Amino acid sequence: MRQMARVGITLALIASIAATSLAVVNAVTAPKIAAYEQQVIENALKQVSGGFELGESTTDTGDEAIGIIHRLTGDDQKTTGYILQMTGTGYGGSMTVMASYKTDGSVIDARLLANAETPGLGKKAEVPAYMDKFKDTGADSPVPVKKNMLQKDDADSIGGATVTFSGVARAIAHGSDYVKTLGGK
Amino acid sequence: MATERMQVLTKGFFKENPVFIIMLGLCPTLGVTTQVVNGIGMGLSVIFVLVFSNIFIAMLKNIIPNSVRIPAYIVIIAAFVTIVEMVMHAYAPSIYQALGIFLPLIVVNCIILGRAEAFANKNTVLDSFLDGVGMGIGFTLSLTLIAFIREVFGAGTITLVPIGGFDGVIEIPLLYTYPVRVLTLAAGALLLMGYLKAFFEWNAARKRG
Amino acid sequence: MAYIAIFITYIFINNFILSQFLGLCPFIGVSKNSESAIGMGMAVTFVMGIASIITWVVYNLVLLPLGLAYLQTLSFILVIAGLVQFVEMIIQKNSPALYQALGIFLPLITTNCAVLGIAIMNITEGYNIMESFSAGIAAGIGFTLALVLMSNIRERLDLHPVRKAFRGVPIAFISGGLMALAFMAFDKSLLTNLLG
Repeated sequence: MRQMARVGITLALIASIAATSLAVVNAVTAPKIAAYEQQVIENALKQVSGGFELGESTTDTGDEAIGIIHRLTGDDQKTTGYILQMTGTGYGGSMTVMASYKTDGSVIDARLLANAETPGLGKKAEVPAYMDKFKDTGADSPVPVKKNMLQKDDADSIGGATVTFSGVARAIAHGSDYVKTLGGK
Repeated sequence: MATERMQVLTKGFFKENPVFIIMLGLCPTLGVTTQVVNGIGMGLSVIFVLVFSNIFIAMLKNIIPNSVRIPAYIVIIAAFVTIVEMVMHAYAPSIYQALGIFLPLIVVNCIILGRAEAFANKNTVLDSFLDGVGMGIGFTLSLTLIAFIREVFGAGTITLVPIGGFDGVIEIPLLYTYPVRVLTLAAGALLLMGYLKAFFEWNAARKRG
Repeated sequence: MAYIAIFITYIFINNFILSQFLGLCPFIGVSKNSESAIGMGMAVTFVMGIASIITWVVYNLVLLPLGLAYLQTLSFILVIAGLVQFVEMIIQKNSPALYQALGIFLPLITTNCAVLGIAIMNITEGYNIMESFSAGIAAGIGFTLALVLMSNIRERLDLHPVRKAFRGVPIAFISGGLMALAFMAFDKSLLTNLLG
């Protein structure tokens, strides 16, 4: 019995020392991690804003695939567009896509954020120029969601990563439709 | 004495290389080696965990009751893994992202528990430290080699750490345009591992004569 | 529908061994004959299913409310180690036949990264408890499938003249690579085509 108690106490002691030291490291690193993640999102927001001012944002979107809406405003405080943060599905699972739209639903710019795509294939979608093929689509012309809706050069840039492309494209197209329902509010 | 110590350190590099000879820790070996920087990042994380868990287990070997030694080792290893995870998330977020699930999975990397069982719980703190460093370096070398082959031929790039104006990616002219894409995928990793292992077997047989 | 998608995903598309690189050690180590491959596969599937439920409960009902999410890795591996020990005891007492079949594989499962892998994936994918359980079972079936196919290939390879340097492990890896190539036919578009 005493043997059992000794075993239990030793194990509990090791576990509690381990847990305490983790709590200390967590206290040091947690603010740093939060700040970094904030930074990534802020940078992306600035890049896709198309020169407009960032207005207020809301997480109350009424749509599962759309996490956050940021309003974009021009000089006279009128809404000129929106930035949506959306989830899409790629080759490596779910990924975060950020896209900005004018009020008529046409795409200003977009970025692929958190993702688990294959380096050398789907990962190439992280390059800002990848999103050029979506710019100005969504209002007069539809967002290209299939490879055969693209110019040859753009289609080549997708290479073997068709699944990544259609995941990004579907998210952007979905966002465009959603923006049209907002009606510039 | 000094030469024995050296052997404890260097045996992990080639003679008892954890990946190619003992064949431990295969999952991260193939899972993260799509880019050179990930291979190095994984290797360094494993060195850190291996060295510290080896030291602590060697120190505590007389205190930990034999019947619960495995759970006790696992707790110690898991604690160091979580520390690496948190520190990396805070200070090297892009590598943290790339290593993904393989970072927490260092806990079940057979190399670490294997060294605890086979070496650290019977040897002195200093020897265990050297063993950890040696095995860790052997692991890192193997990962870097595999990652180098996979990235150079599979994507036509060499991704290192960005410093100053250098963005960290070296593009190799012809291979960047016409890469052997299969090497970056799961299938290519398994094929490459097979050929590398065959090479090591052939080399060992040749040395034996 | 969601459950069918989970099963197809974890058995074929994201097969743990052939596309996620989880559980490679037993894939090479225990695939020499098909009998032990089936035993190992069943034991892993069983433990993965139960571990998925318990780790889900531990994370969502204990760690998250207490703000201790950073203890995830530590507590998951302890839960799995304890669970494996417990399962071993239960089987040994109640079903000697099953113990005969699975017993020697059980201690190996604690360090099988597939088990800890699915526990962590369930959390990052945000599954609910039933989805976690399904993912655990499905990933286990996928693991068993790859292991059994591999053991059959290796049994046949034993009868063929293989160059000396390639015998054993190297040719196993290469066969695994070819199998992974075949499994690449299963991708996300399969899911879209099947379920819309």
